Amino acid sequence: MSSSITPVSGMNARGSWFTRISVPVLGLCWLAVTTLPFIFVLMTSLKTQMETFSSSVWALPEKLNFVNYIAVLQGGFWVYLRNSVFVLVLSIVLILIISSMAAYAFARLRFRLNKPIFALIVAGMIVPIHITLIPIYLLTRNIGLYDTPFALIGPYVATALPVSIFILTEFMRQIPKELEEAAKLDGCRTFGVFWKVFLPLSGPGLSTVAIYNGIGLWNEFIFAYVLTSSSANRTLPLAVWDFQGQYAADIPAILTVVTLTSLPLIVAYAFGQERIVKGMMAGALKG
Amino acid sequence: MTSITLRNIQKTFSKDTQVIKDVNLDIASGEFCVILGPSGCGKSTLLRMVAGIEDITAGELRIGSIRMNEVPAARRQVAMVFQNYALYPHMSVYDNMAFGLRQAKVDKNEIDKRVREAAQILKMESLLDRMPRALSGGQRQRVAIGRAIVRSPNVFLFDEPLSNLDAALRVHMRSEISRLHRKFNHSSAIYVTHDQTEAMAMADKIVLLRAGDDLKKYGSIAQVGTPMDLYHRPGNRFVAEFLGSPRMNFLPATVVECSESDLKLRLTGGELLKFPFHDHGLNFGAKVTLGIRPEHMYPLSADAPDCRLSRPVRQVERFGEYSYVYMNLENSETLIAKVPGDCYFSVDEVMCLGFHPENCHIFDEHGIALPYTGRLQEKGILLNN
Repeated sequence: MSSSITPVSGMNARGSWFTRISVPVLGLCWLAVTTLPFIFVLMTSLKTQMETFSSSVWALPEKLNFVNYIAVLQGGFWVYLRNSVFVLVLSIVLILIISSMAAYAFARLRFRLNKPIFALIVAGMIVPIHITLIPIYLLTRNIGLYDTPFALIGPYVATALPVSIFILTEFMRQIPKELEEAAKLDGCRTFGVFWKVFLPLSGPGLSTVAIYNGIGLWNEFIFAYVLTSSSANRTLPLAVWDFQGQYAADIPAILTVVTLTSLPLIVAYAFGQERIVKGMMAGALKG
Repeated sequence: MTSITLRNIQKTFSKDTQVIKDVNLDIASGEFCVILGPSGCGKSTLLRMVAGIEDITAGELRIGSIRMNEVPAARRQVAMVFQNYALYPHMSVYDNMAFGLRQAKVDKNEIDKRVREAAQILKMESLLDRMPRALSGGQRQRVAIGRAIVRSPNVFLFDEPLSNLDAALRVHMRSEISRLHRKFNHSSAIYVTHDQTEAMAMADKIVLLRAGDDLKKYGSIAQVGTPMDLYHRPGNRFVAEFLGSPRMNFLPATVVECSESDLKLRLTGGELLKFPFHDHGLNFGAKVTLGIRPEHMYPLSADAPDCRLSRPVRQVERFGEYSYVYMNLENSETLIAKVPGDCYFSVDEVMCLGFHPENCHIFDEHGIALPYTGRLQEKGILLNN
């Protein structure tokens, strides 16, 4: 008996030994892949332009030099920040309002074509935004919104809706049906059930959607680049443009902009990491 | 005072899925009506149709004298207690109870008065500021009942409200609900359960529903009556089998002699039994089933003249006060007798059983019970209790 058991347990032991070693090693490798670029960006932002070219790429700065930070902050940075915050807040509010109402309808209301429409909206996630650039540019110019912060809000909301509706629909499907029925017996109509019961109970789902889209929109470059042109209307990702000449680029200054732009995201992720992961898991497992 | 009337109620979910068929029911004002039945018989669906959260496919529902089929749930003056409580998790106990009144735009002081009154009745004044997640199962159920009470509804609806509670709490809440119903006796109540003990203990009237093929054949309602009526005078084999624990014993038999007032049966084991049945409508040779409850059989000595059945004992379960004795029948079914705890039998010992003919039920080949006229009253059983 024991001889038949030994090889199996030996194999299990080897399996667990392999897992014990390989998982942390792979984790550390992935940590290096994701962290090293940021360390490079942070170090380079503290170097002078001359130092960037003369020293090796991974050399530490000779001294802590904040010249680039002063230059960026004294330039158009605050205008870009204001535009970014304005566009982000307005977009997120609209995304939350529209996607939560749509999600409630898909999750709870029985109407013809519920499933096909939901499938169509979710399919919107696979449309590459680049093929929409020219039509959106022409549309924006025709309705007179070109080169205004408002030009960005429509495309931002539209591109974020499929994933947001998907996440919130899955979330609302998990809210017990009896709560909806209890609210109806208590005198709520359809909107009352949504507003007084489903919306408050969807708090974690809403914050997931807000954080997830917030990160994407904060970094969004291509729509901002196509739909705005003057520095008064640019958002933060376009600030790098100020330090990009026709024949040369101020690399430390550009990386300073990147560092400053990333900071709010790092803070947001630190606080909202659990919810983002939860939201993504809900979408992945229940879809 | 509000009565409830259901006429020819039907419910189909798709072309082939009929869950409720031909329900005709009158629930008097202040009556506590229990809808009982096995899983899938449509008891919760029927309740939800009365509540207005499920459409009625056909038929008519009246609460009082008003037709309710098209009236939305919120305007039916009904309150429902759900199986899983359905408390709003983001609201305190107070807000949960006040929610319905706020929706109805009741004056703030009146809301406060009613919520505190209900909390006092349910002995949960100290819980008003708590959130539902900080309450035990029993407390949550009390809040759910409180939420129904504050609205002073015409009809209380209970959808298996005790099934999530442990056995001891279930017994306590059972008497609590009965007490509250007596206190608010102006309101009618419909209570859904699959637990026959709850039904027997609480009901003024039991509506026993059937499921499966019998539903399509005979309609949803198997029998309506008082608990004692259903227990002592089951109208068919399904009712006889569903009520009572352990269930009624069924012994196949053949009619060997029949007169206007008597019926003589031969069991498959060869025993001849005579029953005083009037208007039985059976002929010689008819196949019938004799039904007798385990508690209506008593043990006798082997040579007793009134020994009616004897079989070897297969198994004995002792519970102190009483024991269940299991014996094999010829049709590979089991015969169970409930005997006093101080009667000792061992396995394989032949046990003789006696019973009074008036405690027996005879079902024809379609499972319909023969008329009970006169039999039970003679024995002094009060059927209307």
